[in-house]
Amino acid sequence: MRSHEEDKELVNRCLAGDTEAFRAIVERYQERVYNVAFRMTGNHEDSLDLAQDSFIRVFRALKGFNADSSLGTWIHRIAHNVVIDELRKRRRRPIVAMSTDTVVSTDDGEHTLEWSAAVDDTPEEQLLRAERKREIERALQSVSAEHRTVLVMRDIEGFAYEEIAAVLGLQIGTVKSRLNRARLALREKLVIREQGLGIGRLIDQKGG
Amino acid sequence: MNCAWVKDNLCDIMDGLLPSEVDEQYQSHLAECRECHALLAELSLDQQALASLPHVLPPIDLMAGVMATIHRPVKKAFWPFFAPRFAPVAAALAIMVLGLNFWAAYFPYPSLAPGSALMETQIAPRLFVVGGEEPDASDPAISDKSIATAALEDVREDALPARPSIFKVSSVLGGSIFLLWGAIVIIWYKRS
Repeated sequence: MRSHEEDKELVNRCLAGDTEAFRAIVERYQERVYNVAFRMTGNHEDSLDLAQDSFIRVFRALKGFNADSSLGTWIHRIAHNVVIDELRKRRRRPIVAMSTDTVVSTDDGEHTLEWSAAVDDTPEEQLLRAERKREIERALQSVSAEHRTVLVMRDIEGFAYEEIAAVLGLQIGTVKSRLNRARLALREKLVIREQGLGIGRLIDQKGG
Repeated sequence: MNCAWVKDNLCDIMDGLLPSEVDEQYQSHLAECRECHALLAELSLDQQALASLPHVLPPIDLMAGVMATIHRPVKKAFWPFFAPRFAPVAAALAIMVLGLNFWAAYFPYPSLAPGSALMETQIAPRLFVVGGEEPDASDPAISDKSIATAALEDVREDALPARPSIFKVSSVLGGSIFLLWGAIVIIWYKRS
Protein backbone atom coordinates (compact mmCIF):
# COMPACT_ATOMS: atom_id res chain seq x y z
CA MET A 1 0.00 0.00 0.00
CA ARG A 2 1.37 3.34 -1.11
CA SER A 3 1.18 5.53 1.89
CA HIS A 4 1.66 9.22 1.96
CA GLU A 5 3.91 8.93 5.01
CA GLU A 6 6.18 6.40 3.29
CA ASP A 7 6.50 8.68 0.27
CA LYS A 8 7.35 11.59 2.54
CA GLU A 9 10.00 9.53 4.29
CA LEU A 10 11.52 8.47 0.95
CA VAL A 11 11.62 12.06 -0.25
CA ASN A 12 13.35 13.18 2.95
CA ARG A 13 15.93 10.42 2.58
CA CYS A 14 16.55 11.47 -1.03
CA LEU A 15 17.02 15.06 0.00
CA ALA A 16 19.53 13.88 2.63
CA GLY A 17 21.56 12.32 -0.20
CA ASP A 18 20.32 8.73 -0.10
CA THR A 19 19.93 7.85 -3.79
CA GLU A 20 18.72 4.35 -2.89
CA ALA A 21 15.56 6.00 -1.56
CA PHE A 22 15.03 7.40 -5.02
CA ARG A 23 15.33 3.87 -6.41
CA ALA A 24 12.40 2.95 -4.16
CA ILE A 25 10.39 5.91 -5.49
CA VAL A 26 11.06 4.87 -9.11
CA GLU A 27 10.15 1.30 -8.20
CA ARG A 28 6.79 2.47 -6.87
CA TYR A 29 5.75 4.70 -9.73
CA GLN A 30 7.58 3.46 -12.82
CA GLU A 31 4.90 1.03 -13.96
CA ARG A 32 2.12 3.58 -14.09
CA VAL A 33 4.33 6.33 -15.52
CA TYR A 34 5.64 3.96 -18.19
CA ASN A 35 2.17 2.69 -19.09
CA VAL A 36 0.74 6.20 -19.42
CA ALA A 37 3.70 7.16 -21.64
CA PHE A 38 3.27 3.98 -23.70
CA ARG A 39 -0.43 4.55 -24.29
CA MET A 40 0.17 8.21 -25.09
CA THR A 41 3.01 7.66 -27.58
CA GLY A 42 2.16 4.19 -28.86
CA ASN A 43 5.70 2.86 -28.84
CA HIS A 44 8.18 1.45 -26.37
CA GLU A 45 11.30 3.37 -27.41
CA ASP A 46 9.72 6.76 -26.80
CA SER A 47 8.02 5.56 -23.63
CA LEU A 48 11.32 4.42 -22.15
CA ASP A 49 13.00 7.74 -22.95
CA LEU A 50 10.07 9.76 -21.65
CA ALA A 51 9.71 7.76 -18.45
CA GLN A 52 13.45 8.08 -17.76
CA ASP A 53 13.39 11.77 -18.51
CA SER A 54 10.40 12.19 -16.19
CA PHE A 55 12.11 10.49 -13.24
CA ILE A 56 15.34 12.42 -13.80
CA ARG A 57 13.33 15.64 -13.71
CA VAL A 58 11.56 14.44 -10.59
CA PHE A 59 14.94 13.81 -8.93
CA ARG A 60 16.25 17.24 -9.87
CA ALA A 61 13.08 19.00 -8.77
CA LEU A 62 12.72 17.09 -5.52
CA LYS A 63 13.82 20.08 -3.43
CA GLY A 64 10.79 21.98 -4.64
CA PHE A 65 8.31 19.22 -3.80
CA ASN A 66 5.70 20.24 -1.27
CA ALA A 67 5.72 17.39 1.25
CA ASP A 68 2.05 17.94 2.11
CA SER A 69 0.87 17.13 -1.41
CA SER A 70 0.77 13.72 -3.06
CA LEU A 71 4.08 12.49 -4.47
CA GLY A 72 2.28 10.32 -7.02
CA THR A 73 0.24 13.22 -8.36
CA TRP A 74 3.36 15.38 -8.54
CA ILE A 75 5.32 12.70 -10.41
CA HIS A 76 2.45 12.16 -12.84
CA ARG A 77 2.18 15.90 -13.42
CA ILE A 78 5.88 16.07 -14.35
CA ALA A 79 5.58 12.94 -16.53
CA HIS A 80 2.48 14.36 -18.22
CA ASN A 81 4.34 17.57 -19.07
CA VAL A 82 7.27 15.59 -20.45
CA VAL A 83 4.96 13.46 -22.62
CA ILE A 84 2.93 16.42 -23.89
CA ASP A 85 6.11 18.33 -24.78
CA GLU A 86 7.33 15.34 -26.76
CA LEU A 87 4.00 14.93 -28.55
CA ARG A 88 4.07 18.62 -29.50
CA LYS A 89 7.61 18.26 -30.84
CA ARG A 90 6.79 15.26 -32.98
CA ARG A 91 3.46 16.57 -34.25
CA ARG A 92 5.01 16.83 -37.68
CA ARG A 93 6.47 13.35 -37.53
CA PRO A 94 4.25 10.45 -38.64
CA ILE A 95 2.84 8.26 -35.90
CA VAL A 96 4.64 4.94 -35.64
CA ALA A 97 2.30 1.99 -35.99
CA MET A 98 2.02 0.05 -32.77
CA SER A 99 2.76 -3.62 -32.65
CA THR A 100 0.02 -5.65 -31.08
CA ASP A 101 2.32 -8.12 -29.42
CA THR A 102 4.31 -6.41 -26.80
CA VAL A 103 7.76 -7.66 -25.96
CA VAL A 104 9.02 -6.38 -22.67
CA SER A 105 12.22 -6.95 -20.76
CA THR A 106 11.86 -7.58 -17.09
CA ASP A 107 14.12 -8.94 -14.42
CA ASP A 108 12.98 -12.41 -15.44
CA GLY A 109 13.92 -11.95 -19.08
CA GLU A 110 11.79 -11.03 -22.07
CA HIS A 111 8.09 -11.68 -22.23
CA THR A 112 5.59 -11.36 -25.00
CA LEU A 113 2.34 -9.98 -23.73
CA GLU A 114 -0.68 -11.39 -25.45
CA TRP A 115 -4.24 -10.22 -25.50
CA SER A 116 -5.98 -11.46 -22.42
CA ALA A 117 -8.77 -13.82 -23.30
CA ALA A 118 -11.25 -15.56 -21.10
CA VAL A 119 -10.56 -19.27 -20.90
CA ASP A 120 -14.10 -20.21 -21.92
CA ASP A 121 -14.11 -17.95 -25.01
CA THR A 122 -14.56 -19.71 -28.31
CA PRO A 123 -11.78 -19.07 -30.85
CA GLU A 124 -14.19 -16.78 -32.77
CA GLU A 125 -14.94 -14.78 -29.66
CA GLN A 126 -11.26 -14.49 -28.87
CA LEU A 127 -10.60 -13.31 -32.41
CA LEU A 128 -13.36 -10.68 -32.20
CA ARG A 129 -12.14 -9.49 -28.84
CA ALA A 130 -8.58 -9.21 -30.11
CA GLU A 131 -9.81 -7.38 -33.22
CA ARG A 132 -11.74 -4.88 -31.09
CA LYS A 133 -8.69 -4.20 -28.92
CA ARG A 134 -6.50 -3.70 -31.96
CA GLU A 135 -8.98 -1.27 -33.43
CA ILE A 136 -9.38 0.64 -30.21
CA GLU A 137 -5.62 0.84 -29.77
CA ARG A 138 -5.27 2.36 -33.23
CA ALA A 139 -8.24 4.69 -32.75
CA LEU A 140 -6.72 5.85 -29.46
CA GLN A 141 -3.61 7.00 -31.30
CA SER A 142 -5.73 9.01 -33.73
CA VAL A 143 -7.64 11.15 -31.20
CA SER A 144 -6.12 14.42 -29.96
CA ALA A 145 -3.48 14.28 -27.20
CA GLU A 146 -5.89 16.13 -24.89
CA HIS A 147 -8.57 13.47 -25.37
CA ARG A 148 -6.06 10.61 -25.28
CA THR A 149 -4.71 11.87 -21.94
CA VAL A 150 -8.04 11.58 -20.13
CA LEU A 151 -8.93 8.28 -21.82
CA VAL A 152 -5.58 6.76 -20.84
CA MET A 153 -5.72 8.07 -17.29
CA ARG A 154 -9.33 7.17 -16.58
CA ASP A 155 -10.31 4.22 -18.77
CA ILE A 156 -6.97 2.43 -19.08
CA GLU A 157 -5.05 3.34 -15.93
CA GLY A 158 -8.07 3.85 -13.70
CA PHE A 159 -7.08 7.18 -12.12
CA ALA A 160 -9.73 8.80 -9.93
CA TYR A 161 -11.30 11.99 -11.27
CA GLU A 162 -9.71 13.92 -8.40
CA GLU A 163 -6.27 12.59 -9.32
CA ILE A 164 -6.69 13.46 -13.01
CA ALA A 165 -7.87 16.94 -12.03
CA ALA A 166 -4.80 17.40 -9.80
CA VAL A 167 -2.37 16.12 -12.45
CA LEU A 168 -3.84 18.27 -15.23
CA GLY A 169 -4.58 21.27 -13.01
CA LEU A 170 -8.29 21.24 -13.90
CA GLN A 171 -11.60 21.22 -12.08
CA ILE A 172 -13.28 17.81 -11.72
CA GLY A 173 -16.21 19.05 -13.81
CA THR A 174 -13.83 19.99 -16.62
CA VAL A 175 -12.18 16.57 -16.44
CA LYS A 176 -15.58 14.88 -16.77
CA SER A 177 -16.71 16.99 -19.69
CA ARG A 178 -13.36 16.45 -21.42
CA LEU A 179 -13.74 12.72 -20.88
CA ASN A 180 -17.28 12.83 -22.30
CA ARG A 181 -15.98 14.49 -25.46
CA ALA A 182 -12.99 12.12 -25.60
CA ARG A 183 -15.22 9.03 -25.47
CA LEU A 184 -17.41 10.40 -28.24
CA ALA A 185 -14.34 11.33 -30.32
CA LEU A 186 -12.93 7.82 -29.89
CA ARG A 187 -16.29 6.31 -30.89
CA GLU A 188 -16.35 8.51 -33.97
CA LYS A 189 -12.87 7.34 -34.98
CA LEU A 190 -13.91 3.72 -34.47
CA VAL A 191 -17.03 4.20 -36.62
CA ILE A 192 -14.91 5.76 -39.37
CA ARG A 193 -12.46 2.85 -39.16
CA GLU A 194 -15.28 0.29 -39.21
CA GLN A 195 -16.81 1.97 -42.26
CA GLY A 196 -13.41 2.08 -43.92
CA LEU A 197 -12.88 -1.60 -43.22
CA GLY A 198 -16.39 -2.38 -44.52
CA ILE A 199 -15.69 -0.59 -47.78
CA GLY A 200 -12.32 -2.34 -47.97
CA ARG A 201 -14.03 -5.72 -47.58
CA LEU A 202 -16.60 -4.86 -50.22
CA ILE A 203 -13.83 -3.93 -52.64
CA ASP A 204 -12.02 -7.18 -51.79
CA GLN A 205 -15.19 -9.21 -52.43
CA LYS A 206 -15.84 -7.48 -55.74
CA GLY A 207 -12.22 -7.83 -56.73
CA GLY A 208 -12.21 -11.50 -55.67
CA MET B 1 -34.11 14.84 -20.93
CA ASN B 2 -32.72 14.62 -24.47
CA CYS B 3 -29.79 13.12 -26.42
CA ALA B 4 -27.56 16.16 -25.85
CA TRP B 5 -28.02 15.81 -22.08
CA VAL B 6 -26.98 12.16 -22.32
CA LYS B 7 -23.81 13.08 -24.25
CA ASP B 8 -22.97 15.75 -21.67
CA ASN B 9 -23.33 13.36 -18.74
CA LEU B 10 -21.62 10.21 -20.00
CA CYS B 11 -19.26 9.98 -17.02
CA ASP B 12 -21.99 9.97 -14.39
CA ILE B 13 -24.15 7.65 -16.51
CA MET B 14 -21.35 5.14 -17.13
CA ASP B 15 -20.18 5.31 -13.52
CA GLY B 16 -23.76 4.74 -12.37
CA LEU B 17 -23.68 7.94 -10.35
CA LEU B 18 -26.93 9.57 -11.48
CA PRO B 19 -29.20 10.59 -8.62
CA SER B 20 -32.22 8.27 -8.50
CA GLU B 21 -34.80 10.78 -9.79
CA VAL B 22 -32.51 11.77 -12.71
CA ASP B 23 -31.75 8.11 -13.35
CA GLU B 24 -35.44 7.39 -13.77
CA GLN B 25 -35.75 10.11 -16.40
CA TYR B 26 -32.61 8.81 -18.10
CA GLN B 27 -33.91 5.24 -18.15
CA SER B 28 -37.21 6.34 -19.70
CA HIS B 29 -35.30 8.35 -22.35
CA LEU B 30 -33.12 5.33 -23.07
CA ALA B 31 -36.18 3.12 -23.49
CA GLU B 32 -37.49 5.48 -26.16
CA CYS B 33 -34.29 6.57 -27.90
CA ARG B 34 -32.62 3.89 -30.01
CA GLU B 35 -29.67 6.12 -30.83
CA CYS B 36 -28.75 6.76 -27.20
CA HIS B 37 -29.33 3.10 -26.40
CA ALA B 38 -26.96 2.02 -29.15
CA LEU B 39 -24.41 4.73 -28.28
CA LEU B 40 -24.28 3.75 -24.62
CA ALA B 41 -23.91 0.07 -25.54
CA GLU B 42 -21.00 0.87 -27.88
CA LEU B 43 -19.34 3.22 -25.40
CA SER B 44 -19.57 0.58 -22.73
CA LEU B 45 -17.84 -1.94 -25.00
CA ASP B 46 -15.17 0.66 -25.83
CA GLN B 47 -14.59 1.23 -22.14
CA GLN B 48 -14.24 -2.50 -21.52
CA ALA B 49 -11.80 -2.82 -24.42
CA LEU B 50 -9.72 0.09 -23.11
CA ALA B 51 -9.66 -1.38 -19.61
CA SER B 52 -8.53 -4.75 -20.94
CA LEU B 53 -5.58 -3.42 -22.94
CA PRO B 54 -2.50 -5.20 -21.64
CA HIS B 55 -0.58 -3.51 -18.88
CA VAL B 56 3.04 -3.44 -19.95
CA LEU B 57 5.92 -3.97 -17.59
CA PRO B 58 8.56 -1.24 -17.69
CA PRO B 59 11.87 -2.47 -19.12
CA ILE B 60 14.75 -2.86 -16.67
CA ASP B 61 16.62 -0.24 -18.68
CA LEU B 62 14.31 2.37 -17.19
CA MET B 63 15.56 1.99 -13.63
CA ALA B 64 19.15 1.44 -14.77
CA GLY B 65 19.09 4.58 -16.91
CA VAL B 66 17.57 6.74 -14.20
CA MET B 67 19.97 5.57 -11.50
CA ALA B 68 23.02 5.93 -13.77
CA THR B 69 22.01 9.50 -14.61
CA ILE B 70 21.36 10.63 -11.07
CA HIS B 71 24.67 9.17 -9.89
CA ARG B 72 26.53 11.10 -12.57
CA PRO B 73 27.90 14.37 -11.20
CA VAL B 74 25.95 17.31 -12.54
CA LYS B 75 28.12 19.58 -14.64
CA LYS B 76 27.67 23.22 -13.89
CA ALA B 77 25.80 24.21 -16.98
CA PHE B 78 26.70 27.25 -19.01
CA TRP B 79 23.07 27.70 -20.01
CA PRO B 80 21.56 28.86 -16.72
CA PHE B 81 23.46 32.13 -17.02
CA PHE B 82 21.30 32.87 -20.01
CA ALA B 83 18.16 31.60 -18.35
CA PRO B 84 15.08 33.77 -18.64
CA ARG B 85 15.53 35.00 -15.08
CA PHE B 86 18.38 37.09 -16.45
CA ALA B 87 16.08 38.67 -19.01
CA PRO B 88 15.64 41.85 -16.88
CA VAL B 89 19.43 42.25 -16.83
CA ALA B 90 19.49 41.92 -20.62
CA ALA B 91 16.70 44.46 -20.89
CA ALA B 92 18.54 46.93 -18.60
CA LEU B 93 21.73 46.56 -20.64
CA ALA B 94 19.78 47.01 -23.86
CA ILE B 95 18.25 50.24 -22.53
CA MET B 96 21.70 51.47 -21.45
CA VAL B 97 23.25 50.79 -24.86
CA LEU B 98 20.33 52.35 -26.69
CA GLY B 99 20.40 55.33 -24.32
CA LEU B 100 24.11 55.84 -24.95
CA ASN B 101 23.54 55.74 -28.68
CA PHE B 102 20.68 58.21 -28.54
CA TRP B 103 22.76 60.50 -26.37
CA ALA B 104 25.64 60.29 -28.81
CA ALA B 105 23.39 60.89 -31.77
CA TYR B 106 21.27 63.72 -30.44
CA PHE B 107 23.25 65.51 -27.75
CA PRO B 108 24.02 69.00 -29.18
CA TYR B 109 27.60 69.90 -29.92
CA PRO B 110 29.14 72.26 -27.38
CA SER B 111 28.17 75.89 -27.68
CA LEU B 112 30.14 78.02 -30.19
CA ALA B 113 28.84 81.30 -28.80
CA PRO B 114 31.43 84.08 -28.30
CA GLY B 115 32.98 83.80 -24.88
CA SER B 116 32.11 80.11 -24.47
CA ALA B 117 34.84 77.78 -23.29
CA LEU B 118 35.09 75.94 -26.58
CA MET B 119 35.32 79.15 -28.58
CA GLU B 120 37.98 80.57 -26.27
CA THR B 121 40.19 77.53 -26.08
CA GLN B 122 39.70 75.64 -29.33
CA ILE B 123 38.07 77.57 -32.13
CA ALA B 124 39.41 81.11 -31.81
CA PRO B 125 43.10 80.09 -31.90
CA ARG B 126 42.45 77.95 -34.96
CA LEU B 127 40.52 80.70 -36.70
CA PHE B 128 43.62 82.78 -36.31
CA VAL B 129 45.53 80.13 -38.21
CA VAL B 130 42.84 79.81 -40.86
CA GLY B 131 42.17 83.53 -41.30
CA GLY B 132 45.72 84.72 -40.82
CA GLU B 133 44.60 87.40 -38.36
CA GLU B 134 44.74 87.74 -34.62
CA PRO B 135 41.20 86.98 -33.57
CA ASP B 136 39.38 88.65 -30.75
CA ALA B 137 37.47 85.93 -29.02
CA SER B 138 34.97 88.40 -27.62
CA ASP B 139 34.21 89.83 -31.08
CA PRO B 140 30.63 88.89 -31.99
CA ALA B 141 31.67 88.67 -35.63
CA ILE B 142 33.58 85.51 -34.88
CA SER B 143 30.33 83.74 -34.16
CA ASP B 144 29.05 84.92 -37.54
CA LYS B 145 28.66 81.86 -39.68
CA SER B 146 30.05 83.61 -42.72
CA ILE B 147 33.43 83.85 -41.04
CA ALA B 148 33.34 80.69 -39.03
CA THR B 149 31.71 78.19 -41.39
CA ALA B 150 34.78 77.56 -43.52
CA ALA B 151 36.79 76.75 -40.46
CA LEU B 152 34.13 74.94 -38.49
CA GLU B 153 34.25 71.67 -40.42
CA ASP B 154 37.99 71.38 -39.86
CA VAL B 155 37.65 72.52 -36.28
CA ARG B 156 34.94 70.02 -35.50
CA GLU B 157 37.04 67.23 -36.89
CA ASP B 158 39.95 68.20 -34.68
CA ALA B 159 38.45 69.80 -31.61
CA LEU B 160 35.33 67.79 -30.90
CA PRO B 161 35.43 64.28 -29.50
CA ALA B 162 35.04 61.57 -32.12
CA ARG B 163 31.62 60.50 -30.93
CA PRO B 164 30.42 58.87 -34.13
CA SER B 165 32.98 56.07 -33.85
CA ILE B 166 32.10 55.54 -30.18
CA PHE B 167 28.47 55.02 -30.87
CA LYS B 168 29.15 52.92 -33.96
CA VAL B 169 31.25 50.59 -31.83
CA SER B 170 28.70 50.48 -29.02
CA SER B 171 25.85 49.90 -31.49
CA VAL B 172 27.56 47.00 -33.22
CA LEU B 173 28.89 45.48 -30.00
CA GLY B 174 25.68 45.97 -28.00
CA GLY B 175 23.48 44.79 -30.85
CA SER B 176 25.58 41.67 -31.38
CA ILE B 177 25.62 40.81 -27.70
CA PHE B 178 21.85 41.06 -27.39
CA LEU B 179 21.21 39.16 -30.61
CA LEU B 180 23.47 36.40 -29.33
CA TRP B 181 21.78 36.48 -25.94
CA GLY B 182 18.34 36.26 -27.54
CA ALA B 183 19.42 33.32 -29.69
CA ILE B 184 20.84 31.50 -26.66
CA VAL B 185 17.66 32.04 -24.64
CA ILE B 186 15.57 30.63 -27.51
CA ILE B 187 17.85 27.58 -27.81
CA TRP B 188 17.74 27.14 -24.02
CA TYR B 189 13.93 27.10 -24.11
CA LYS B 190 13.91 24.52 -26.89
CA ARG B 191 16.38 22.28 -25.10
CA SER B 192 14.71 22.41 -21.70
